[in-house]
Amino acid sequence: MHPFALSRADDPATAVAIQTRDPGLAFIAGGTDLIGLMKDRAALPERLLDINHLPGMSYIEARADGGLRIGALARMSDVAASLAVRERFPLIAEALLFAASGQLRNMASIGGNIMQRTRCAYFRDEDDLPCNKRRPGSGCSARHGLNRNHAIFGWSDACVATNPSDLAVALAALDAQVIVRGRTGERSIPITEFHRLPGDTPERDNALDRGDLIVAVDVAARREARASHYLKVRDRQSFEFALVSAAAGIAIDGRSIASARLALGGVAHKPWRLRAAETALRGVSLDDRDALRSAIAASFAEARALAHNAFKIELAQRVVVRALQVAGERT
Amino acid sequence: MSAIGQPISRTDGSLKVTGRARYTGDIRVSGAVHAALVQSTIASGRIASIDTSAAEEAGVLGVFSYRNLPRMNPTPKPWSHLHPHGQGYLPLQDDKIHYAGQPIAMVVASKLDQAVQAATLIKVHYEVAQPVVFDADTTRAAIDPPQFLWPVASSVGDADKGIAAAAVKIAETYATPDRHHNQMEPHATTAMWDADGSLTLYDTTQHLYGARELIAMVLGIPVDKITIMCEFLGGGFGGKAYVWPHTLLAILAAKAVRRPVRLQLTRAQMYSMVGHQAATIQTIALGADNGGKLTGIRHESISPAPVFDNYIEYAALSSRSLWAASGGIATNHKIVHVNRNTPTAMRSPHEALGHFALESAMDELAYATGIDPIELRLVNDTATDPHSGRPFSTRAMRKCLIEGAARFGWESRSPTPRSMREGRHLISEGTAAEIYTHWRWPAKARVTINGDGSALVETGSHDLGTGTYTVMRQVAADTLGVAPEKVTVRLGDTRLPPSHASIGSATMANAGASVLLAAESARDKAIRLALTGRDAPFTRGQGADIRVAEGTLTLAHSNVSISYGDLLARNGLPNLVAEADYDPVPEHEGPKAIFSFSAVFAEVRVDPELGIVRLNRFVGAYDAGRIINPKTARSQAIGGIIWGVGQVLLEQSETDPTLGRFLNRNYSGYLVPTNADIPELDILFVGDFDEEASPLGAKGLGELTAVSVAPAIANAVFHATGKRIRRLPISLEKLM
Amino acid sequence: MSETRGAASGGKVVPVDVTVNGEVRKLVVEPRTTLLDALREELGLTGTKKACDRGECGACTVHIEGRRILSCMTLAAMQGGKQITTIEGLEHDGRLHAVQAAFIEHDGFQCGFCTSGQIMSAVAVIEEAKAGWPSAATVDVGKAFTVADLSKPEIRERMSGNLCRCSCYPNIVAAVADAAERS
Ligand SMILES: Cc1cc2nc3c(=O)[nH]c(=O)nc-3n(C[C@H](O)[C@H](O)[C@H](O)COP(=O)(O)OP(=O)(O)OC[C@H]3O[C@@H](n4cnc5c(N)ncnc54)[C@H](O)[C@@H]3O)c2cc1C
Ligand code: SF4
Ligand code: FES
Ligand code: FES
Repeated sequence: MHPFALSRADDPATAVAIQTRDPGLAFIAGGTDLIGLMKDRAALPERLLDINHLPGMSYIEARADGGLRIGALARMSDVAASLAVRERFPLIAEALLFAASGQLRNMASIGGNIMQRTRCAYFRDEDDLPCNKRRPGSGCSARHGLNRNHAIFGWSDACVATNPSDLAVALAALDAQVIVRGRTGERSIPITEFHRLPGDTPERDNALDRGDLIVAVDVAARREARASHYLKVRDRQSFEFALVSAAAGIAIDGRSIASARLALGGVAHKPWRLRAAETALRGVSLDDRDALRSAIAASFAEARALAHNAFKIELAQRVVVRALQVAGERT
Repeated sequence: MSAIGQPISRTDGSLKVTGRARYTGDIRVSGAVHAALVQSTIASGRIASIDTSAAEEAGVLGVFSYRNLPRMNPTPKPWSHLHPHGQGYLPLQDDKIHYAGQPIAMVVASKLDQAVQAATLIKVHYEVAQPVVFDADTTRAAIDPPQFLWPVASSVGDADKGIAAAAVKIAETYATPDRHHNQMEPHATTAMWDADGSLTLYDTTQHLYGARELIAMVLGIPVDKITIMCEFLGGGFGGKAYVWPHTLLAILAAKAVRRPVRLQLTRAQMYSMVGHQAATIQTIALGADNGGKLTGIRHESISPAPVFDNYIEYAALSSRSLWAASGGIATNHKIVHVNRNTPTAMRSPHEALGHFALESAMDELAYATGIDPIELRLVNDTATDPHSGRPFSTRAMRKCLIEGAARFGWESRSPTPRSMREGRHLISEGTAAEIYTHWRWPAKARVTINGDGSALVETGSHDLGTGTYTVMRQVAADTLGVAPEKVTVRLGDTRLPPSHASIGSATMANAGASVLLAAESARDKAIRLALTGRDAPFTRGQGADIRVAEGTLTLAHSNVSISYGDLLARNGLPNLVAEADYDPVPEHEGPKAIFSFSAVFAEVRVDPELGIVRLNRFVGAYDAGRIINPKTARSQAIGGIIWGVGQVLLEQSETDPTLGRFLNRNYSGYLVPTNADIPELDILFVGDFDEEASPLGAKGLGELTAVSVAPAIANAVFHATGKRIRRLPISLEKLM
Repeated sequence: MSETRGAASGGKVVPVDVTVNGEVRKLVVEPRTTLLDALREELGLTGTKKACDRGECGACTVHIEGRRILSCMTLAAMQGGKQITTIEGLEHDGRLHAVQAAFIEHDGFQCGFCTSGQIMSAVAVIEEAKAGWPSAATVDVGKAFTVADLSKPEIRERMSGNLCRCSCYPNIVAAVADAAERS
């Protein structure tokens, strides 16, 4: 790694202030993404600010109203192990458990997880290949290169990368809020607006500004949360990022869907909410596979394949059906 | 009790579970400094300019490029196992760029981070040429390569005539992708020069003596001035058998900076600094009569090689000796020169590629003829090697098929595709057979019986995880008649008696034979001493009746005995030393054809909607001759099976067609199986003592077990889905 | 904010005190030094292996405060004051830990290069199961998990962060199951 300085933050206000005035400084939490990026020279901060000792940011609070608030420094493993999370929001626990490995989950923070950058192999290559996200204006090697793992929704010619976070997909389905402390105080960003589409500025992943510190993630109680499932499809059985994943939560009325919440992972630069499908699914029977399929299709009109990932358009729809079915078994 | 045949736990176990086993990268040499490499970011062209000044000013000990690295001698031709270079094109010798990741500069600094950082300061400008990659266009221009390991082409009888006249014909194309070994231990070298010009190396090698020979030739150093050590190797799988550029660079760097130099490859560098398994495109034509009897086999393979080497993946080799074909068998190999580094042997070299094609085609033939796949193979079994016309020394193929099928419960299988279900999943079963070349190589060993009744085995072999330390102890213990705990085994040092490369599953049979012979010789010396030495307890003529057990020589049917310790003490000797030189006739020159065999059975679970295939259970029945240690042998087998699972379902080194470089150069992008991918595996050994193979009766096992897993699983996938996947890996989009 | 030594002095060495295998060790490292490199290069604890240096293989697994982590993906300078256990610290009074013994008995390794990481992971897997942690193999995460639920599929999933290219997985699972039963 390149040489850098390391210091430690003891209170959030100072952390925010320091980063606001220092563009060469990055926060480090678990380090599991940032250190990899630095080793591959895709991130070259001159100074790191260790935020792990910020007080009061590692909690998991099961609120009396059925909601949940998770401190940004809570570790993935602790959140996944929390009975409150598992009972109230099984899809959050599952999204966490299907991510990374036991060791990484012990290190990785919730804030860091939703901040993690794409796994596009061109972006991460230590040789600094043409990549607009890494070096704006250098081109996108994946656009006409090896793009099996890349996006089918919302991509631009400038970047076809996907967001790798599993957790963010579950949070998107639940309309969670990201609580951010910035130079003007605290604000709340809907997770569905937290990550950006690449457009002409793929170097920007999300809506954070310099100095912004994620302090928590807030999930309101949802009637679709209990009958929920996170389904992750990948080439091998474990320890791999999603090829396609779906977070599904439903409220049911007999065997038919009263309301549904759906988001896909591995298909876009951000967790991809299927709002049209959610609307079309109302009243559809869980046992009517064809009806489920045609309701879901409502969200796929805008899907666009790249040279090597056309299969994802079909796969994603099947994954959604399966996730709905499994969620349906949980009621 | 005999130690041979017992499931003894690894003797190096306690070192390995405590972290005390020292691998090449663990060895600390005082004063050692670190080397970091700069690699070409383009795949073809030349270095127009290279500016090393910023790196030189970064407080480093040395910066090297083609402009200042001393010239090496060309790699010896023809290629030989006796002095095996991994790559014919040597590093930092000229301004040409032949492949992406080619080393073009090296920085030496006292700390690794410092060397790596300084390497990033080197500015290179290239003249870029369009790289040539292995694709549909370039394969059309494939050429006939010169012979490398085996003859490139073979023809017995008239295969085409046999196929033309057949009642049932199969003609298909199969493809396997580029793959990388990805041993857990990265390749590493620490090089040290002495004032007198002698060179000591700690090196990750499967072939101490071959490495020494090659280094001596290329760098012009007398062989007897070179010592190489490798006590523990963190996996080889063929990828550490030859000498790769980093080893040469470390040696030259150490000479230039006059300090010991450590050079350890990064994971990403392991994709271009050392070899890989090259892709193949194979065509197979089979002809058979209605009873399934083969009338002809034609098997051809095309694979990529670098522009400077003629490496061949001998995939069609598989068809030369596995099944009889009444009309004839023809095989051939072609290569395409592309911009990449040189491929190399990778578990299981040649055979795991060829068997995927041949044993998939056999399954296609089983469906075409309506004959059960096991029956089809029994019908085509042969006691004579179709290729050489020699009888097989032993060939328990029938036993493998029948006993394996019984263990697996094959008879309850419904042959119709898509006919077996379990919930959302299709359940299915597939089988395939395997053959693997048995190597006969010379090896030397020394065995010492000590005054305290202990024994020492010394041989320049290697333990790559194969259990060499353990099995050599068993062989020596039995032969000397001492308890296994009394035997110490030393391996991994060129100062020991020379042995062969630990590749091709040859170590048990060959290095093992040298230990057997040396132990016999030491024991016989002891017996002679007990007959003729001072105060000899036995008399001349009794030699044939002397038994050794528990460290004691005893005359049969008597209570006259003497321990090794007493015998040595009585004769005033500190120890007894014997050496052996095992020098077998090479396999291809002997009267018998020697191969290992097996039949394997896979049950898979397919999620037909999502295209996901997972292995449910697996039975392997192996004829690898006599099994010396069933515990370590079983581990070899499960390892091989899991390698096969990786090959058929996951592994693939992807080349970006424009950049001409391997892209997925890490464990996130290059998928090897995880624990969760693997179910219970059931292993059966059905072979017998094979005296032609080795005085130990053992044949090769490790490579064998990875040979036919891919077709067994691919055949099961067909059984599940009715889809025949002829291009590996079987990723989910191919089944959706 | 407290300056953990030299915020302004990029790349300069900083002192860090850590407790490794029960012993306080005073390290002086650059901020960029990973915990893995500090253990191997500064403390000579080479039992912990570097195989990928990217968090992708598990060979560098050690325990911090009793939890398994990847030492290649954290900085030594961030671990001041922490209790670190490596493979060298697993034996007690010269006796192998039950998991180490089970690995030998079940032949849970071949080359041994991944083994330190496998064993450090396995020790933690058993503790995590005792603590009631579910995994991706847990059918219903909403239910309580006990160590009795630590089936072979559970062990396989939980051990999947540790790659083994010699591919000893079934034997590793047998070793972990055996050690879990005995513990
Ligand atoms: C081999 C491997 C496999 C993986 N597999 C998966 C997977 O399958 N699914 C998955 O979802 N993830 C996976 N991950 C990613 C992993 O989950 C993330 O690396 C991790 O969650 C990041 O958290 P961290 O605390 O380590 O972040 P860090 O690396 O510390 O930080 C990441 C980024 O977030 C910023 N940051 C951190 N905390 C805050 C905050 N509070 N406010 C503002 N910015 C902040 C940092 O500045 C940095 O830019 C994998 C990672 C690896 C290495
Ligand atoms: S997809 Fe995005 S991240 Fe990948 S190469 Fe293109 S610009 Fe870079
Ligand atoms: S070396 Fe740390 S995970 Fe591979
Ligand atoms: S024992 Fe060799 S990699 Fe696991």
